[in-house]
Amino acid sequence: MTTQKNSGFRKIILSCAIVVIGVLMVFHQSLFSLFTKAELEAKIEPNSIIMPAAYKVYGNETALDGKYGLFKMLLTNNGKTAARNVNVTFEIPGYIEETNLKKVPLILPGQSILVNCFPKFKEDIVEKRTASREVVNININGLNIKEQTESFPIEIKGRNEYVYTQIPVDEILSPAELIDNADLLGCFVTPEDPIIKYFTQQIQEKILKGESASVMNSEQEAVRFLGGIYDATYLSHMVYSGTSGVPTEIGDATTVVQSIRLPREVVTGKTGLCIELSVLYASVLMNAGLDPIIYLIPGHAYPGFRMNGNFYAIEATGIGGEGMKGGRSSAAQAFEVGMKQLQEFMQYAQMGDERYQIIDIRETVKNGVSAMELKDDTFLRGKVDEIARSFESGGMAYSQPQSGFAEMGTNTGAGNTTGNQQNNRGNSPSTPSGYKNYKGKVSFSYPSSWASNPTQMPEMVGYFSNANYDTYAEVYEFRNTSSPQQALGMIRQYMNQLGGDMQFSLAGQTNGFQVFNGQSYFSGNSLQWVAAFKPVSAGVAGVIVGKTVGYGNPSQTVIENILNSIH
Amino acid sequence: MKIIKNHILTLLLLILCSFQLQAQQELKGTKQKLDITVDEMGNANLSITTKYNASQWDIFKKTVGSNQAYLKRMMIKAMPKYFLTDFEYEEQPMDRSYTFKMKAFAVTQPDENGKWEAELDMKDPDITKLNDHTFTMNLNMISNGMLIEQEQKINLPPKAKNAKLEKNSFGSAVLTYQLKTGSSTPYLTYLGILMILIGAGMLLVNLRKQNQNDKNQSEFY
Repeated sequence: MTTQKNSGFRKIILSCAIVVIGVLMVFHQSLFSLFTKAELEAKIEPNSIIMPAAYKVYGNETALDGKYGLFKMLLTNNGKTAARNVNVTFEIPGYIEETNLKKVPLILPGQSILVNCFPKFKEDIVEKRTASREVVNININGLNIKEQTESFPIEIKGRNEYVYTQIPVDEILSPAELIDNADLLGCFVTPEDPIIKYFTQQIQEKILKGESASVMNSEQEAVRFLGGIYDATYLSHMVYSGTSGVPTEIGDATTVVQSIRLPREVVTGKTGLCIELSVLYASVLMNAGLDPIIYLIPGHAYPGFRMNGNFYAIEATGIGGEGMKGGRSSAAQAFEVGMKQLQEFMQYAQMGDERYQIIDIRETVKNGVSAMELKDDTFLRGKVDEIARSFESGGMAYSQPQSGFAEMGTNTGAGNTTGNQQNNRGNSPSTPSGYKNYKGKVSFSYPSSWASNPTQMPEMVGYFSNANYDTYAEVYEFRNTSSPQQALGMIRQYMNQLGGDMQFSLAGQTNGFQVFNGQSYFSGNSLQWVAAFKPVSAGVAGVIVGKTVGYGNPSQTVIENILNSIH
Repeated sequence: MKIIKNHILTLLLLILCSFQLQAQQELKGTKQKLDITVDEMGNANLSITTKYNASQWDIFKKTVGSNQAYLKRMMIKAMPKYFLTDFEYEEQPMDRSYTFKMKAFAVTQPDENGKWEAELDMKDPDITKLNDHTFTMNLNMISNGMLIEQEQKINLPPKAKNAKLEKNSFGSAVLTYQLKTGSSTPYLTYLGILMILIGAGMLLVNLRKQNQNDKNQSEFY
């Protein structure tokens, strides 16, 4: 009987053992992880510097495709068991308290997890005036992993400091990488700064006596506004002051760190570098609703804007200073210099010279680059008032010169026409000897030796050139538009389809024609031209007269003669 | 898998850098093929093949095409959030094409339920599901007057199931799929459940028997 009882107990114990084994099998992973540790390996790519001016960019994951994070980390589980409930935190003592970055429920053996850190700095970081060296601490913990702490040093610059590139010098592959942080220049453009808003209002009211550039989308009005900003800097006796960037070692990289005064500091301090003046212009233009552009060229920068697909520029440093050799330029002169530089810029940029870069501020804003928050300041407003009193004497109020075609045709080198040629302007200029007439919705004279060639674009109704095809006149008639600019836009569209491109800008108006300077790039050639277009019944008609770049003076007289004969 | 969009940007950059102005010619798109093969760990092997016409190839070879390190740098710059490795460049000069390959870590990541997610970083993509683990997408873009015809293929792990396009809370497309993430086979769990059932059954029977025996014994006495 006892034997039977013992056998019964044994069977019960056996049953219990089977149940326990079953439970262990079901929950083996969780139980196993309590007693075994996963092995996480962290691979970190840190950022070596923080520019306070760009603090909003660092905190925005989508800004510039996430280029400017604090660090990125690859966590790989090299163990034989899954890592559970992994938590990653980071801190920058004195700047950012310990913050959760990522919680991962499970990292399988062999699996990697990506952790990107986009730190949210407090707004008061823009009050930081000087650089300091700080530490970033990263903590990794979890249910079955050994807690790890990783640290790396970081340099937090002063708010005015701008670092051109963070690419190590021996890694630089192209000139563009010397200004790899070009987009961050947008952080120094502060259109919403109350002081800049106030300064803009003063220009609009006291210098321009009202302006409507952004409302009317008028290029002429926008050029007048550009001149108004120049007048404001000129009349306030703002001066150009040079300084050089300081070569600095940051991590593995040697770079140039430049101190860039904020636009409000440039206005009230009445002195600025080329880059600072460019940033000031960009801030004011943007505040007025225009699309500001900063042109970067080797060793220099100048501002401008884009409207209706056309680019404009002004040489902001033309204000010079009374003490400087070369004196001070008027707004018109500064604009002329800027536009000449722009032509050169386009030529180099089209040839692929990466040292020539356009910073389209609105585009950078669209890509997540945000300006720093700046508070209103009564003292600075008072300074702006003081400056604005100098505006009372009246600005030079830049106005577009109204002149003949040839004077406007600076692109072709056809400027400075003689008095006789100017006298040819009128409704029916006489035909120069050796020329014959083209008559249509627009009429002009061209050399008798020129041949009439087959036209290309459907709207092109005439195409005349010399035997080498390096100097030419094209006649256009558009039916679907009454705007000369739109007509030129259609030509550009047509060229784009064929792999070419063109740039043009309004140079002025005369005899009912709108005159444009332009440059085309096509089949590896660069063409410079002047276009004269006017609205006609049911459309737009006009002539483009140009030459291939590289063919110099011999064709200039011909171009001048053609331009002056257009009616 | 923001990679996909970023790649387009990278390739656009390449095009912009490498294309100079062309003579008058019929407008033909530049063909690009982008293959993304995701493994069971969520890492992706990327292969981009670009085919040029004669003129484009000539310019490409004179510029970025002669400097593969520059191409690599452009890829890294275009995907700043990712860890990229295993770069390979293969050229097929007779076909005027080149293939750039690389590996990107942790392109897709799982949640605790074994659901893997890849952000496509675009809204309403024109994507076609070929089977449960293969998707294709055709993109035509015009940049600087150039037509780019890109064919993308996304290959998920062969064991992936229920692959579909979903939207995240921001309205962007997310490619999701199920993949068992356990570090051991589920059979062990099933066997464990079976053993619990057998053990419990045996225990019940034995307890009954024991009770019956105890009862018989008390009746006997």
